[in-house]
Amino acid sequence: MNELLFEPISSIGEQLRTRAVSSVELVTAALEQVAATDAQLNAFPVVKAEEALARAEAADAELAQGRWRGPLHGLPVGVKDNIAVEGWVTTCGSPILAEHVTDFDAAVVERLRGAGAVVLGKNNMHEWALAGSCIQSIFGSTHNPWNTDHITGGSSGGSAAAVASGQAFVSIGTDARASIRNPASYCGVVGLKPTHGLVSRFGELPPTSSWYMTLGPIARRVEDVALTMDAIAGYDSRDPSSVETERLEYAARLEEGVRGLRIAVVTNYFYSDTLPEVAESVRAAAGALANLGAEVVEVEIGMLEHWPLIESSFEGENKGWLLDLALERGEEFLHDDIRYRILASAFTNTVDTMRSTRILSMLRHEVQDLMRDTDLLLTPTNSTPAYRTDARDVAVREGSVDVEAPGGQGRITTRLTVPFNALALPAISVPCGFSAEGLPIGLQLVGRAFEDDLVLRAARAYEQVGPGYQRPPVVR
Amino acid sequence: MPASDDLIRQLIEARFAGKLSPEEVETLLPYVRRGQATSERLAAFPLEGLDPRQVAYISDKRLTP
Repeated sequence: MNELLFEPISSIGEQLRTRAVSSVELVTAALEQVAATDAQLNAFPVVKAEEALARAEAADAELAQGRWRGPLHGLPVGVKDNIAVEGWVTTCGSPILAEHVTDFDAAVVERLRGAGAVVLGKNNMHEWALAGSCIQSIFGSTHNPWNTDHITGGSSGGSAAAVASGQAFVSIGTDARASIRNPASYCGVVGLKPTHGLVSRFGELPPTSSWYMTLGPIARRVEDVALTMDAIAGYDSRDPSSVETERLEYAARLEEGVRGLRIAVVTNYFYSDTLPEVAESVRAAAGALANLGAEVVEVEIGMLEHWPLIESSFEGENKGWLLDLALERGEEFLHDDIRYRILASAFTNTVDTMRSTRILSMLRHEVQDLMRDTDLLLTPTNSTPAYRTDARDVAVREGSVDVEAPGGQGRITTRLTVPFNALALPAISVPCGFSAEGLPIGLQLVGRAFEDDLVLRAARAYEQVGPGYQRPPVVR
Repeated sequence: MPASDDLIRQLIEARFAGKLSPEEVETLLPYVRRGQATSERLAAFPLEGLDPRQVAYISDKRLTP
């Protein structure tokens, strides 16, 4: 195992820039790391070794000529398998798209390559990005590097497992409910769901009009995430949801700390299922941020208690276009729950959608009022650590949840994160502790729209006093 | 009043017109029942008389960064 694979991006990027290490050396090491660990993890089912090495040679040739594209230049990275790469199969985790070769690059792939990064291949994901375990995929289940009997979370589970185990420095995931933050939390790494509109969705498949979906980075450290945002964020006219806004420098003010920031611990909704060991880790993180100079207060967001009604406002949209497939090619769905949720979405009616949208706007007003004088919200990312792959009933604070019953898996894997998709606010998950079983626990920090730099700054401050990234057993 | 399982079966049959097997209809039934329960709760939510200042007419913040 090559230790360079675990370096911070700022450090390894500098070594590449000064040619102390070559991109070919790093990409070769990453390919060897995939070969050594992926039989256990199944995080990187599509690897384009020859193409990656050719691009690494080109990256080295540019460096030899004095052309340095930035901190990602020459670094091996991954992308989730619902992100288009020209000439590569893009399956969205579904057998229905087993032969689906995309003939263009997603905007985020263009930007990664424009920044000099070398895309190694595709990371595993949950079928259609419509559930949060990463058990069901055309490539088979992804396994958690902290305990391979447990789920990675999802749907970007392959991305989180890959960066946790040193297969890549960063991987780009997508997040409509939890899919970046949930696996980041379960695998002990950092995942940012940016403010909607900052990272182009051009080339994210399926090309739905779901306004609550975003792309964002998963990496081992907050600084790595910030440096990746510097490379991938920006207006793209090909994405109708892209926002032309003042360009932020995500990594520039990362070390400015939290002194003077007001951080609100949300005390309702987020703890009804949350296990005591998770709540205790989050409480300790709030205390650590207070010790760093933040003003930490406790708040309630009353409208969150109506979340199940609000969620129905966007229940059907991204399933609508899959309805024909669920009817005509039902036997090709791997996860019955996804197929039946899609079929049930056909019964959503417009009056209900309008009613739930009005209730959502009431929640939005409440949060906007709260965040006029509150910089960040603080919550757990998940109620529980990653559950066992073969689990049916998952213990929560009181009782258990059947993850195979309608709504069961979502209650465990998306309930604490999805409100911030509905609110289109930036949210990050950072490691904040470990369960008694030795599984990672995640802290969620949420900021105002377009203040992703502040979210990253607070996460960075906490990371330096919290557990931060630690190597999972599979790569010790 | 909650829709009966028989009524939900009829809804499914009407919507999907024989494209699902009886077993598939039975599997789908609790999903649709769950949606119907949400619909009833939505209908009961007191939206009438809502203070217009509490309604976001432009609800997508990406439009007003």
